[in-house]
Amino acid sequence: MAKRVGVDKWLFFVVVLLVLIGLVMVFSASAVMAKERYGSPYTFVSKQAMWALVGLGALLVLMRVDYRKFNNPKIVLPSVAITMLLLIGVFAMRDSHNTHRWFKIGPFFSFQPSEIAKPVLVLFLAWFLQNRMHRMDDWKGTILRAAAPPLLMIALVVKEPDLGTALVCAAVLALMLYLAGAQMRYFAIGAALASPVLYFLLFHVAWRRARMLAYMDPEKDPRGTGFHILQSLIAVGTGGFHGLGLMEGRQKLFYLPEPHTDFIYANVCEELGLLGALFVVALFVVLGYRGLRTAFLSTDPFARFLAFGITCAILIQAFFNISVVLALLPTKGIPLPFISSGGTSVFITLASMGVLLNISRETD
Amino acid sequence: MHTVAPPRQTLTAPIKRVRFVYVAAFFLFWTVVISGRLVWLQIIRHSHYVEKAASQQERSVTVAPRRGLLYDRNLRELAMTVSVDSIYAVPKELGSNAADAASLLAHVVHDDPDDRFTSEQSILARFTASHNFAWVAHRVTPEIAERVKDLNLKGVYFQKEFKRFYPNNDLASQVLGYVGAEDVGLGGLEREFEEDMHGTPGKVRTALDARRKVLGSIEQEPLPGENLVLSIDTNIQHIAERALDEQVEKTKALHGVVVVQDPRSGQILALAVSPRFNPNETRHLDPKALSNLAVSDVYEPGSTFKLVTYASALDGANVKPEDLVDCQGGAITIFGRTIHDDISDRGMGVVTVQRALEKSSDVAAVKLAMKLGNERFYKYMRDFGFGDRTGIELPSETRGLLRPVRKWDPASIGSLAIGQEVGVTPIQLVTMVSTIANGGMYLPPHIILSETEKMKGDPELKATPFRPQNELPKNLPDGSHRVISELTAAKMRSMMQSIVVNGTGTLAALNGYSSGGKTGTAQKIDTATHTYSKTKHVASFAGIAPVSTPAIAVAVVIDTPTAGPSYYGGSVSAPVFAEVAQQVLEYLGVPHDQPFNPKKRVDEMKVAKVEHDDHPEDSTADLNAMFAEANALPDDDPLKGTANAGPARPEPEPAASQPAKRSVLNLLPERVLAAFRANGGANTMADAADNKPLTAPKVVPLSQRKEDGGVIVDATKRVAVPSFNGAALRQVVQQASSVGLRVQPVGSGLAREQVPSAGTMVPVGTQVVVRFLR
Repeated sequence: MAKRVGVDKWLFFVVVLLVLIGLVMVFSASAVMAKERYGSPYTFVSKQAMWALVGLGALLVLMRVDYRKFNNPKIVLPSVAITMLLLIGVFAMRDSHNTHRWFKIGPFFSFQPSEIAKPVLVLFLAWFLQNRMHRMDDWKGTILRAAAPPLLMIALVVKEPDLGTALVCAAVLALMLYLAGAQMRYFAIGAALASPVLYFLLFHVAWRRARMLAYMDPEKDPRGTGFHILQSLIAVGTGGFHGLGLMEGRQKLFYLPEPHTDFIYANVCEELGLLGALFVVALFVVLGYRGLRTAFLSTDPFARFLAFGITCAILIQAFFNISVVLALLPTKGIPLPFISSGGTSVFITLASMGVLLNISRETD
Repeated sequence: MHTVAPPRQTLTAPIKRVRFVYVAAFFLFWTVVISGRLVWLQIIRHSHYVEKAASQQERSVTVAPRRGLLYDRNLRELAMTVSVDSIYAVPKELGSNAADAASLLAHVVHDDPDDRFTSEQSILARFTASHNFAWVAHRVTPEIAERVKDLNLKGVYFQKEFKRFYPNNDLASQVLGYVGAEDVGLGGLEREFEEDMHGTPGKVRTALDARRKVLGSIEQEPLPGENLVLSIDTNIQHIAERALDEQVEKTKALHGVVVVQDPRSGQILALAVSPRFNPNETRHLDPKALSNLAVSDVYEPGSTFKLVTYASALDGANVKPEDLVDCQGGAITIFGRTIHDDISDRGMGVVTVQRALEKSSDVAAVKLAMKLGNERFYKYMRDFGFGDRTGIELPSETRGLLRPVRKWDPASIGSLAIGQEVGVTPIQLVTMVSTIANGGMYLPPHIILSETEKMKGDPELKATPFRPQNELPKNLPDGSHRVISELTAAKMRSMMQSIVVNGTGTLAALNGYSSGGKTGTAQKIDTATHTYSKTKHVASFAGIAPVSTPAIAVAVVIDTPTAGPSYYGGSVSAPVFAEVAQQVLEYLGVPHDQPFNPKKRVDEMKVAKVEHDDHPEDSTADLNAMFAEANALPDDDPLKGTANAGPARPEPEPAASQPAKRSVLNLLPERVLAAFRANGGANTMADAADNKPLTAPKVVPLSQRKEDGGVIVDATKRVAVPSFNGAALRQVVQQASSVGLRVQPVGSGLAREQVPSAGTMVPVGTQVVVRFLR
């Protein structure tokens, strides 16, 4: 029986700091646009603040709920089933921007099932893999059964289409299987099988193809396909060392695509400069370190996989997002955890951080 | 508690802790890549992206500066920059109505059939060529702008643009110049002061969002150009231009120049060139009319240059006006070259130097020059400003032609003495006359009074109306130097006056003012044959008025008069001088120093018989009669014993005045009267001395306009100059002041010489130059 100690203070502060930075940056990035679209500069930031508060509430609750309660098929399997249903059900919703990412309940409440898919996927894998580490060479019994539900979810997310989240999920799946001890040949086979699919997805869907080409040479067509990535680079580049100052960014003024969501980090770079940009990266590094440390020190395999999966999901998503903003990776629409405007994202991320913090109680 | 707790052995055994390390390393690697990328983008490529950002976020617009204004000395605008509307359209906002709009707009703005820019086709062509911007018309009149506004077309906008405007049209056009496209001065002062007047363009940097919405702007105000205050007086300029134009037209001359100068400051009051151009209509400019002939045209001055010869000889060779000179019947041979006088002077024998100048004797001029010798004569000519640029603030000034002595041939001095082998500009000519007028000081001519950022209306920028001064300023301007002595200058003035009274310049006589000057008629040098043309002449006149204290110096040069009675300076240019000087003096409110005959207009005085350089001398009798009449003393002359009436209320008493005058005259000492006669009767007293019956002139109130605070003093208050001979300075001053004269002493000791000479009737306040010798 593990002794009960306090939660990881570092983790807690990093999370609170990231949420606060997020609120400030969401306001800075969205104020002008919100004012123009909705008449109030606080439209986005107030919504974000509300979700952040709800998320922090969930964090505080889950921080106190023993994570072992989730180590139960009666919780895990229905979660997987419900997520699947939501991911299917979202196609019944009216599309927005030719996508089916949103579930709308009433005029105010809407959420993205793909955001839920990530923690459910982690929960499922942690539950499933905890007892099977000695049978990782059984590809039918372990690998395939572990991977099948996540792959199904990923397929549905791809279909939404939300390739970015799908890739994050795939990466989490791969990392958790890797930690569980899966042999490298399975990854080689998986990569071999995924490559043509990925190639097809990337280059045979017109707009993704354009994005890919833009990623390869953003200045080739600065007004067309290269516009978004070039605008992002201009925002980052003009930030310099100190940045233009909070609220002083210009690229958010309709140059940057999604300045308060997927490209909020560009706004951070522009307004806070290299110092602010590195500080945000550093916060994620601290978060990653404390999260992995929690997983590493944990004696409970379920807790270990859970902590590892949650940490990796957040880190991969954060670095993926930052890499897109910096044009290190092709443009994929995924939010920056804690910081990007988006209710579901911030709520789910904070809730999962609550679970991680609960696990951290036992590791100190 | 842990119902689902797995068996212990399966917990840790298969965990490969090293995989944690690999995962951590993977994230660490990613972190390093991200950090490196941040440094690359934000530090190393920073300026590149700042540039890129600026190019899309900011639009930099240059704002044209307002060109400096040109003011005359009374701050009347000669050239100004007005802001007018230009019309443009944003074709995409016109939508499908572009064709209709083009038709409507062309209907209004296409006022000049020659202007292809505003035709309906070209407007429509521009509408279809661009989505965002198309000019409709540039710099339209306010009426057209108003009518376009009334059309109320969507997508049609106005933008202010500057336009140079010359409110007086062609007035002083060669002085002002004009402005071409892009606001660049292309002639005259506009060109000479282009850099100062142009101003510094301003910049507006506008921050834009991605939808080209203006978010705000940083403005760098354009700095307007400097304003120039000219020494030109618009009224004097107008007087000069009108008189010149009339004569150029009448004589069908090629062109003409009149320059009016303030002899005591060197400032140019008027610089008239005929023909002129209208700088407002730059589309139809005649390139021939553009050059400012007053500074760019070199001509051979001929007889007017004798003023230089005589002044130099008086000053440097101790020649006196009353000295005798043998004109040798009108021909002199020096170093193998024979110089003939004009026919008129044939047979002229031994006469006074003054008479020789009156008659413009070439022989006498040659002799006087030879008295000086090459070197000294050359130095005088240089001192008078010939052969060098005056430095006036006008473009394309030439030096004229004056060869250094070492390039002269032996006969050159003879040619130079009569104004040949020398080329001068009208501006040099007038400056030379001013030197004589102001007492012998060369003052470089100027046409700019000040360069200032101030605008009219600013209390610190004050009008500087021209008021004739009696003396040279205490602080002489840079570049001024003494050429001849005060005394020489006074003698020259008096001789110049006698040229007008008795000699070749009779048509330069004024009504109510004394005047002096020298005529000149030069044969043009035929550029094709390099010989003197028999048919083409340049008629010139250089003069001053009034003589005792000249208010203005005037040069008139008329090139190649072809119609009219003659081509001589005395008949072509002298009347222009008279016309200009008369009106300018009246305009300036210069007090009359001669009897003013209000019935007589100046041109009526120009009787048909005019003495020219070559006309027989027998016309003098008529002239004497004319001047007797013109110079008859008015009734309110103090010499007649009547009370002086102010200018506003002269009291005409034609009947009573005549005896009074006589009695006063008779009271004068015989010596004084004798002096009048001996002095050749410089003007007024000839008739009195001759005791001819006087025809009483009618006197009516003086009708001069009082302008610019000019004080009109009754000009007829005159006194006889006492003889100062042998007196000491103190006595001279007392004596002079007792009769109301001023003394300009030269030297020290006892008075030996004076100008005007004793007995001359002069207005009160006249300056008498007295030379003292030990």
